[in-house]
Amino acid sequence: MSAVVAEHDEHEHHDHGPMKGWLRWIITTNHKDIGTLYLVFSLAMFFVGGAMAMVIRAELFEPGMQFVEPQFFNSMTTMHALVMVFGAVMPAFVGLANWMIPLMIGAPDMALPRMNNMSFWLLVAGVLLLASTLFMEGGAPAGGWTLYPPLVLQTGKALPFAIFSVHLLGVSSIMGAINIIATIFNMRAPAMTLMKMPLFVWTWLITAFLLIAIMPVFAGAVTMLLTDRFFNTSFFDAAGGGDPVLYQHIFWFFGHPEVYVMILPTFGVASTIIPVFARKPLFGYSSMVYATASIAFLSFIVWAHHMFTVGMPIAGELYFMYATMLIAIPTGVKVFNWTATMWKGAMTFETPMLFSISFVVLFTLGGFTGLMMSIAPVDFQYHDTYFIVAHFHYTLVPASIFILMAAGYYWLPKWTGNMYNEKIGQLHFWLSVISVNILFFPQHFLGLAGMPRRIPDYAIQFADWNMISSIGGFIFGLSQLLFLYIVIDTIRGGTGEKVTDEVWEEASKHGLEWTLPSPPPYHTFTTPPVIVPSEHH
Amino acid sequence: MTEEKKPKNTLVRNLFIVAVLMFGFGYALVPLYNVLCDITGLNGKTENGAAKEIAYDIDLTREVTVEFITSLNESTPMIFNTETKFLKVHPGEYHTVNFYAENKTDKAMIARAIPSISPGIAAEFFKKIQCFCFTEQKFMPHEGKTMPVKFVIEPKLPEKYKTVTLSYTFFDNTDRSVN
Amino acid sequence: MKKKTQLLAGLVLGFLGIGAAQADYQLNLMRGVTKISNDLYDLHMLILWICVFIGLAVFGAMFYSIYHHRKSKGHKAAQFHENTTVEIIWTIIPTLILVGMAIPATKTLMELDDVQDSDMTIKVTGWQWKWEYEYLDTGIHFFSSLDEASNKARQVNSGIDPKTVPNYLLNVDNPLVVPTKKKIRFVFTAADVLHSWWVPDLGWKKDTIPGFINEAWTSVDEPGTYRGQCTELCGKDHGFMPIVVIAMEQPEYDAWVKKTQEAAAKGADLSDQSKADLIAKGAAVYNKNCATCHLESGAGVAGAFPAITGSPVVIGDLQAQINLVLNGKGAMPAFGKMLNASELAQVITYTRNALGNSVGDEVQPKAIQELLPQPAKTQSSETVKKLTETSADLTMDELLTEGEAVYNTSCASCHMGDGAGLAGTFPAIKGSNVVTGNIDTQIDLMINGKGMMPAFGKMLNPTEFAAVVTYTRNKLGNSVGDSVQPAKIQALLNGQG
Repeated sequence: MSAVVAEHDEHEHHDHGPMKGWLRWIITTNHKDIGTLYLVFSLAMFFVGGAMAMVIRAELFEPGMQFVEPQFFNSMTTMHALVMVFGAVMPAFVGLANWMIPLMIGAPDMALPRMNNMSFWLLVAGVLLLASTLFMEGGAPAGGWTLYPPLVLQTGKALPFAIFSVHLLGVSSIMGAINIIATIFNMRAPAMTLMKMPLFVWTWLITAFLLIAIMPVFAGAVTMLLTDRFFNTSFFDAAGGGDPVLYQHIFWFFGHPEVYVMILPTFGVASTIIPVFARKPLFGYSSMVYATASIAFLSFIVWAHHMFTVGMPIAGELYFMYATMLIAIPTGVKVFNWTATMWKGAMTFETPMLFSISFVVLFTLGGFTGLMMSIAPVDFQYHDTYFIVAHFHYTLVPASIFILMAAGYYWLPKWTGNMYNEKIGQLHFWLSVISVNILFFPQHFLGLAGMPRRIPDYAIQFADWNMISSIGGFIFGLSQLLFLYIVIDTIRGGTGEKVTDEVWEEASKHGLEWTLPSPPPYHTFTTPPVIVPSEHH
Repeated sequence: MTEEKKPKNTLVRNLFIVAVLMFGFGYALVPLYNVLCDITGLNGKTENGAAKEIAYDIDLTREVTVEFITSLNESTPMIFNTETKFLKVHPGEYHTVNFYAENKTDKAMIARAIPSISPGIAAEFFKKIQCFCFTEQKFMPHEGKTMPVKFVIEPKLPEKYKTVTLSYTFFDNTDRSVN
Repeated sequence: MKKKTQLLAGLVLGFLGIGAAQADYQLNLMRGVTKISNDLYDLHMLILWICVFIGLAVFGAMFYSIYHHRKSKGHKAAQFHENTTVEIIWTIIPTLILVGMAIPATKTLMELDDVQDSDMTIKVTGWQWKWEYEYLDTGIHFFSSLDEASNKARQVNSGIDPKTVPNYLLNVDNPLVVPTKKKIRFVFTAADVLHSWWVPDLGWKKDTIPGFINEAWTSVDEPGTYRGQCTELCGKDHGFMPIVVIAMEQPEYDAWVKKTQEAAAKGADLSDQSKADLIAKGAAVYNKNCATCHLESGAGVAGAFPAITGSPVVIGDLQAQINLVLNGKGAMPAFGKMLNASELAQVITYTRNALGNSVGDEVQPKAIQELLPQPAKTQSSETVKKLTETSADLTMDELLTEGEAVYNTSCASCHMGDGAGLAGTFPAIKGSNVVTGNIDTQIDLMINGKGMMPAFGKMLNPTEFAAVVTYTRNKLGNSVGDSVQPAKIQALLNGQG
């Protein structure tokens, strides 16, 4: 560990706490500062992407075109997805990783602090570049977040900028992932063996490997789009001997692991929070680790289940159907384990626990529809309808986003030293959980009844459920302002009650971070902790 | 001290190398995909080159209906049709069918016909000995050409395939052709 | 209030997979009208029920625990954290359930994949933003796009209540008509970007890919009208290219085929129209076909679609504009294929004299008709087969019959129908040295042309070529008595490379 200490000696300001003034946030290499930057940025992007969702739901409130042109509507669906995926969910988890991984494994900082700073600012640059395409001639990309050619090649001036922004986001993610792997492999406290690491660390370790494997592939795919459009190559252009379907194969080779990048850390946070409020060790720690690893592995060999209708030979359809169905097994193991963790516990239901429980229930619902869609022949009906929209929103909003909320409530007292307002927190939870179901549950019906996705206007028989869904959307959107209020309020002192180091009853049994003061000092674990609390023995 | 830093640096370096290799892997998927297409008939892609004319044992016990369809990609100002809409053939027999294409513009045009076969599995057994799709076609202003395609269906074609469709789509490549 | 209760009931029942029968909206997948769609429905319900059952078990246990194992109830936490037996059980049971699902799924998929032994084939081409249908057996061919009423109502702030439009966004001008109880094979392709053809009642959707073909089949049990939409994002008007399939009993279908073929044979009305008429009718054609991109005002969309108003093409040379409209360029499709001569003349005249332009000239349908591709010669498939199999030798009679037809279309305009030629300009065929001389010399001349004589090697196929050579040597006052077979011509053409 002396290596780490030695490296820190190079930065003398580390001995003095944070720099004064705004420059601190630009040049900081401190994992807590960078974690905060990531979290704040992703919260901002959550509202930007959310505003786009509100435009979509407003246009779909009633049949007929009321507010926007169809082309702009398509830009909204495309940008909503890109901003939420690359600007909100992924950075939020990187922010959590930055803050929590060093605290959880007893490390003084991330392994590569300066690269850490760089990956954050590349992310900002990438997202801003992406957002700037909204103001370009011809409009923002409107071909869906999957950027399928040939349609995406019809994008106006924005195309090269959108592609370059994907490159930046990719480089940022890869650097972040490398940093996380290096930190976990090199900077654990003595006695923190791999199989003693908290599950959040485990899931992030696996996620980081996924990122390194897939982000370059995506970067390659969009580079091919770029050269197809500007340099006369024909990777995806039939006219030159290429094939548009090839893009879909490459994209989903990235895309399927990518959706797991957004869900695996979610599993980690849920596995961290549920035991604390059940006052019981996590059930089946090692099977959780193996299940996560199997899901990650399976994610690489199932990509074409996103393309059952492109006309694959039957052998391909069957293979991808069977492989996809297999994912249900490790995912099931996880859900059973969480249930067993709650079983015979002594549960209390503070806001983080409420969000975590609703995550387990609603994620499982999203998992069921996922299983339904893995059945290739029936997917010939479900594919590209609102049924899939409902499916992936169930796995992203009441799963990933809810767990990010849970993490916020769970660790905010640690980060700030102040307690959030539990009453408003619970109000936020109940509003969110009710409205999210009003928002997304009816979309199952719409899809089954035959409403395609990505359409700005619809036939009359879809009107009722769309209106209900939009109402749910507006309530959900507004409710999130409560979360913003709570975060700001807690930073400024919250309830006024000073929290203990442990914050939650006996939390120090469940993680090293609860052995530190709240808020933790600017530099923590400059000497590695000796006693590693046993999480599961 | 520097020696103790080594394991971390090696790890980081290796991880970056993995990332770069994965970028290359994305490109490697292109030829891999084409190999996969050849094997599985994915997308009904056909070999882009003349097959050797071998004498097969003609399977007179069954007939396969071969359909010919023609398409023009958007803004390809041509007339393109087939003189034969369908043909019943015995596997192993050689046949020639004619397609007609005409440039509708006042300028010379370079166009490329892309073949596709359905069902995709049949592509493997569909051999073209002569085809205008092997190369780009140059058309003088208003020039029309009758272009023969000589083909054979290998007797190895599984029995269950009784109809095979051969499709050509002409793309106007004048602006992008390297020729 | 009743509606509200219904909605609530729907929500609950829908979750359980039971459609609320009295509701006027749909909650569940439709059964559809084909065997496949019914199989899929059953499969869907089977898996849905399995999921509901597993869900009830898991959530039941969870909520039991949440209720009973609360700290507030004084429950003391147990400290167990693993149980290998339980973990093995809940790995194996789901695996068995999955196998149980995979078996019927595989069966249905195999059936869905079996497009062989079809009774007819329809080629479907996806366009931005319309569908093109071509019946390969009868040659019927048409485009199908959103009907006018929906199209008007769907404009931003159109002021038309969509609820007053029958089948809003699910109606087209020319529906696809198919016979019932016949195995219909579809071949899919696209002309520009990806699209996907979906009619829920038929049970599947299939992507259309430019340059490649896909296939699928259906067999409709019940006569009726079935509606669907494009399901692959294909740009601006992706939501506005519906599909309507009308299934008819065989006799009605045959009548429809006859009627449609007769109408197609008659062709468009080519009589001259007054300029005012052209402009008035052109407005409707424009709004339906051009306004999606160039806008109803003709203002276009900066960076994407050029304005019509003041456009150099529109106010420039008439012939250049006609060429562009007929043949397309870049994102502009070739309308020569989609509109008839009358509509083209109307819309071109309209753009030149309205939307802020006032060129003042006009074009009549006849002038357009001359520029349109002529329908291919129709031959019975038997003759086609015979004539195109160059390996098969033709009899003298067949050669002469075909040769006469070729002569009349390809040669008679210069050499005259009776072969007398035109003194001083076009030599006579009758008694010509070339025609009555060595056959190879004649073939060589015809393949390569000479002076004003074009190179027919590129224009005629070997069969036509052989036929017309034989015809000239034995008719039109000549009687050399020899003939040539297509195979020989083919060989010569190939040799030429």
